[in-house]
Amino acid sequence: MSQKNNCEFCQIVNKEKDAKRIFEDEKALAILSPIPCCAGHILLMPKEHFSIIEQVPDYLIAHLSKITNKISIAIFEVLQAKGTNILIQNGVAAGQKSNHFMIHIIPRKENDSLDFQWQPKQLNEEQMSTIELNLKEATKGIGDFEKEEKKPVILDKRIEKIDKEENYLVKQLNRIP
Amino acid sequence: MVSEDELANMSPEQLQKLQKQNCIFCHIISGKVASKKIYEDDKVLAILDINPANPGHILLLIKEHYQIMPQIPDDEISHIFMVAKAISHVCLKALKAQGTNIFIANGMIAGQKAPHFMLHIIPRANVDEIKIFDLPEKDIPDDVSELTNKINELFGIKTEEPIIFDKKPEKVSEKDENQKNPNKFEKELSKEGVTKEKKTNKDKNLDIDLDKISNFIIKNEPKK
Repeated sequence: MSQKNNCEFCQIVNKEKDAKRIFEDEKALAILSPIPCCAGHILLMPKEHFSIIEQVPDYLIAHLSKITNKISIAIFEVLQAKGTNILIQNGVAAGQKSNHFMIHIIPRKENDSLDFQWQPKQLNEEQMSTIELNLKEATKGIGDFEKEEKKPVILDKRIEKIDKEENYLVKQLNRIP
Repeated sequence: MVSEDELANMSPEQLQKLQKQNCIFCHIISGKVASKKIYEDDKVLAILDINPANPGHILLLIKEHYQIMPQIPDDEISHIFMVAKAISHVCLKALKAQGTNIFIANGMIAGQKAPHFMLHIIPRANVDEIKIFDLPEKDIPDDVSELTNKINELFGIKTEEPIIFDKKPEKVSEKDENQKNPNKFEKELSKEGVTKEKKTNKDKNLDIDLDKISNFIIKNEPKK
């Protein structure tokens, strides 16, 4: 709990703290980064507090990835970006700065002084093979992905919604004497 | 090889076929080129990168040939991310990595090298001296309304009202009162004006705080 209370991004989700909100639905929130690495740097996060990707349920990852794709398309069109980078920093060793899981979406332009090129490391055949074997063994369990449990639909709420929207069909029905 | 004239006359379907024929990763997927396969299912294939940023650097490929992410349908995108999560977990467990970077480059400018969409999973250790994924921090004012509208449009949501950012009322000081009128004028200016106004407000806050602090120190100074 204390981790949640101190989390800067949970405060943003709960509107206790200001941020430039770009997209919001019931599970996810996208904001402009308060400390951007370039113009249009976007952070997409689940509203619930998770520290690392391993804790985020599969269906939520799927949901976030769809939004990521849409934001990426929007960046291409609106900001006239020539490319985008999508980055997840998972763990302090990977450069993660806050303990709220998030996806960075970074618009790229020419001469933007950003560089994500790495220096390839040379590994010999033996090292590669051991890594291959280790990973292959461990990936055997992959395949079953969590699905979201569907919440029961509360009838009262549904009726309320229809009333509010003033469904034209209902209106029509009312008119019939 | 195909001549330029032939290229110009090709239909989009033929072009796509040609791209596929020349794509090294499509060859890897079909098995024509050897690779170290880590994981495979009906939609994706994970292989070891031969030029790794770190030992255990994995490329996660979609079997269908897409060049960039916007071309990929939602179900495949969500599948590849779920597999990426699982492989990231495997890296932590099997390679004893202390963290992972999941990275996508869309477009040459973003560092994409092959015309086949892929997702990089890079195991990280505290002492690996890879600094490229530590994002720099800059101060850039920005306007979001256009972006918000576009994203909502992509999701089929209509945006009716512009989003207004909540601002807490600020304490009125003499300085503020003097500048009230230009402030009002600024509000009526374009979106740029809004960001400017925000900035000046921040500065003012800082001034007030400093004054308070200095007053406090003076008041509480022990008298000799």
